[in-house]
Amino acid sequence: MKRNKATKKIIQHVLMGTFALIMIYPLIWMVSSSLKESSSVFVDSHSLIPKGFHIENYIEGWNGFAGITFSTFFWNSTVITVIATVGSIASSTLIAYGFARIKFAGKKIWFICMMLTMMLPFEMVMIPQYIMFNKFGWIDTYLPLILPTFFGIPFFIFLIMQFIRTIPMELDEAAKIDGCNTFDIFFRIIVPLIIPAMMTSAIFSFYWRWDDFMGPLIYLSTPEKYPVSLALKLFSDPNSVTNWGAMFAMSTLSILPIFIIFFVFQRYIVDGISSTGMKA
Amino acid sequence: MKKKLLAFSLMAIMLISVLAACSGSDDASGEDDGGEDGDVTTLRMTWWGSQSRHDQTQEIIKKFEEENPDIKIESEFTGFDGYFEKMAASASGNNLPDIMQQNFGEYLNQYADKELLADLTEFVEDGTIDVEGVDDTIMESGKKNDKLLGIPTGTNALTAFYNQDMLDEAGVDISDGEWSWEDYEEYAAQISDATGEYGARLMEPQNLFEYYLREKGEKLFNEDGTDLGYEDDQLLVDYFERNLELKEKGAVPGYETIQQIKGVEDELIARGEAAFDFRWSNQATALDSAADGKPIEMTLLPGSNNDQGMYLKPAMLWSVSENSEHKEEAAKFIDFFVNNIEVYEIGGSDRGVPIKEEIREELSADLSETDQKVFEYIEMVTENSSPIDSNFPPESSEILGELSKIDERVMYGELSAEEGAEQFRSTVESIIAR
Amino acid sequence: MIPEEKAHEKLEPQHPEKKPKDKKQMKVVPPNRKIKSDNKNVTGYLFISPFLIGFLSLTLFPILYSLYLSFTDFDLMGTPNWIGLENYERMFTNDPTFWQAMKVTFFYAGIAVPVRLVFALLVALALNKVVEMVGLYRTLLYLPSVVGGSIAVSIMWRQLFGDDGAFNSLLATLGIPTHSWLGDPDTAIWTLIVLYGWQFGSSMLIFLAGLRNIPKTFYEASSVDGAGPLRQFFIITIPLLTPVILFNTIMQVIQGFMAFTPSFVVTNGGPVDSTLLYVLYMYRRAFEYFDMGYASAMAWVMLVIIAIFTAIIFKSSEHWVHYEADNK
Repeated sequence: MKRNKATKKIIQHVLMGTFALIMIYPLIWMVSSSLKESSSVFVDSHSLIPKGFHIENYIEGWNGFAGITFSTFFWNSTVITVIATVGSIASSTLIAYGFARIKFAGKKIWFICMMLTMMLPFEMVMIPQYIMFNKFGWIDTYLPLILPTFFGIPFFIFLIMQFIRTIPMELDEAAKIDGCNTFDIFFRIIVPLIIPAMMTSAIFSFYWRWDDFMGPLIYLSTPEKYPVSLALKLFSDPNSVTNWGAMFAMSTLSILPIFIIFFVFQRYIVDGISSTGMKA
Repeated sequence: MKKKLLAFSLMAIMLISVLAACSGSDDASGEDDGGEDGDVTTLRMTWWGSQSRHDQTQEIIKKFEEENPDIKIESEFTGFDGYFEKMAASASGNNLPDIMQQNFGEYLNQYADKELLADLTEFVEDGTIDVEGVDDTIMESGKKNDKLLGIPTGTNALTAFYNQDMLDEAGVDISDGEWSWEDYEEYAAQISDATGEYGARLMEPQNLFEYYLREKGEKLFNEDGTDLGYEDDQLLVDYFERNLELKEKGAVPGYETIQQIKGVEDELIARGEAAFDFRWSNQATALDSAADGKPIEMTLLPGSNNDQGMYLKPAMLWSVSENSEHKEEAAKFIDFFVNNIEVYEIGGSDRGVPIKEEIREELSADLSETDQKVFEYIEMVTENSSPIDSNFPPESSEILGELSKIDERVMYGELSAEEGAEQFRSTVESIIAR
Repeated sequence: MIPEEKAHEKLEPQHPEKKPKDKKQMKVVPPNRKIKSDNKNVTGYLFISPFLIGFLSLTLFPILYSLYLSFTDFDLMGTPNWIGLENYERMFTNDPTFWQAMKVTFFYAGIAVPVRLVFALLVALALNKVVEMVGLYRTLLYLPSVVGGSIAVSIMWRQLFGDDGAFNSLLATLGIPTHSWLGDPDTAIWTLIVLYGWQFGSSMLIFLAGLRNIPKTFYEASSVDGAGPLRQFFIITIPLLTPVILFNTIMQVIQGFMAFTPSFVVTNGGPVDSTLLYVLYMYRRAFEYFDMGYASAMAWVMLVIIAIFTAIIFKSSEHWVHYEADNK
């Protein structure tokens, strides 16, 4: 019986491991390309093992452009991403609770409005938005990238709503009997229970902001303010020489923070429940 | 009630942090509002490019600022991806930079149409921009509706790149640029037989069909850009059939293969899998660096009248925006770029071959091997070319897109050459009529 | 648009909640019921106020402006001129490429969305079972989703499905004939579908969070009742996961129809428009053909289509989504 269990476990790990490897094959390819000689990236694109170990790709890449190094770009990305993530999660949670638990006049209409805002591609509202932010004098500042997140992100609002709605009403009612008002219920009962959903949202928010290219592209004009996502595009020009090695090197590095954030925060998705004792 | 206050204060904190973020970034932006700061004029300048161009341009700007201490240039560079989207947004906010790198063709036409670019004629006339001795056909390419809207940063030309080794193997020589379309077909087949690789890369019609027409004495668009410039559909049929025939012989690949090419550095000629490739001369550096020592040479495109077909094209243009408040200072920079040898010592032929002959000559001594080849080739084209056609309608990028699509369908066998040619004409008519 | 919104309104997602909740409140605090509900309006608006402020001050204008542009000939840089319904008319009667893009997008979304959803759910279920090193697996499986739409992905994907790519090598080893996947107009779209499926990480993560949200006590109780794992899956896991399934389905439908980056960076719509996704075509019209008015009209047509699908899903959700908060 015991041996059976061990075998089962091994099989499980072999299966999961193989699957995970297949899934990240393209990433391994990217890391390996970042170590190849720039001009041979395509010639030996099929091989995973680089000939030689061209660590200088990382140095050349980090040197950046026109004297602005990637330390600047990484710092900018971090500032934008962290503020925007905190803002979007805090506001989205509040809004989600309002939509999911409180009955008020006009709720449907606002909910529909919110859903509809997700159905227009950014590229189509970008020009009017630029005109508007330009009038506000926000061009070449981080405001257009950060401020809107403080008004909630529909994706997160809806996500958190769905999680709130899986929480039994009895909890709210029990709390009410104990004399809690809506705000107590929100902070003391609901928030601890939806930490997994908030963390999931935080992980997404982090990644989306980190990866966002179009927004910074049109709103920022000083290269010293560029985030990593925009800086990565500065390597390539389809009509002249692209330093592919350096580009792959910096692409690899740009994924690292997301990797770390995910690895650190994913445990909260799991632990959120057990700490409240609902796991029993 | 206390709890409610708590919630309110939480939200207040949130709002304050928002405001803090606002003022924080406002401070950061305060210093580069542009405009005059004492005696120093600040110009905004944009370009697209790759890592080396950004570094080099910054160095050029530094040189310029040293010589013109009263002008400060703020650079705003991006990659090619998204450059024109960003410019479009800026234009909609009346926010275009003082100096911008422009692209010849549909973009220049579009900006010209909307009168977003300043007419530089007065600066050329009063000598602020010295273009003495620059070939008229080159200056012509920056003109639209009799206004000079851009000064070419350098020139480019269509090029027949070829792999000398593969040609030798098949006993073919085209170095003098005298070869007809029939020769091209014959050589491609010969080479593919001799080497087992492709003789040529499949021609893509976006630029090459126009060349094909010019070589035959025709034009892609008529004088005022309101219709196709050629009458006889047989020309396009012939163009398609040449490619189809070569593909049948196995001398050129089909789109199945072309679709998989991942970038200039991945082109068949760089991998040694094709002997000919027709593309722009400024891609020589990328090809050479990827070719790993294969002898890649350059010559004129085929056709017995290739001097009629060939033309010099501005690699890019420097334009000044109409909303700029410092047009003269911007013109000064363009003048510096055109006339200062240091610009090219730093940047090489990255923005095309210099438009001034004395600079080309002065420079030729210490050029890289590839640049030398490119300079010589442009010299050859200058002697064997006719002016570029700029009578493209505003819809030209859509029309050329349709041409590519029809070409693909013909090559995939979904349309016959005749059907393709007919369909192209009717599509163009309906696009222009709209 | 207006009839659409109305259709939407009717399927108000929360309504099963109302009645029972009122009854409960009556039981708890019968005397102040009226005051309470006034209070509720204030509280409700207080909670959603960030959204309202943002929506009214930042989001609404660009949206309405794009609607206005769809009735103009705006060419990105000039002055928009009102042309009424011309853009819409041209789209439906005189633009074969529009229909091609529509066809490609429906095919793409129709296959890629269910594939990703099922895949994400299965992997989440598997991960929910594995106990050791689950954090590592989760991270590895999430990683593909974070390489996004970079140039790196485009090159990587073309490499993977190229003639001498890893996928063909695998087929060759298995003795299956290889194929020029990206070069064949019939198969190129499949490489994009696989790409969409491959980046299943975000849906998986949401499923996983949903699975973790199911109290263990439910399983323990049903074990006592003698329910086997399969039965437990159908009577506990699936019903309790339905709110999250609803979320993922709606979001994936929206994202599937609005997919852009894959065809933009990997195939650029080719060969022969076989991978020309709707939003890519729209983007081209706007920024390459300077036809912003027309592109805006396309965006609004797409909005209506997505809104209809979303409305249908919401409507059907009344029958299959199980909310803890509503059923009491």
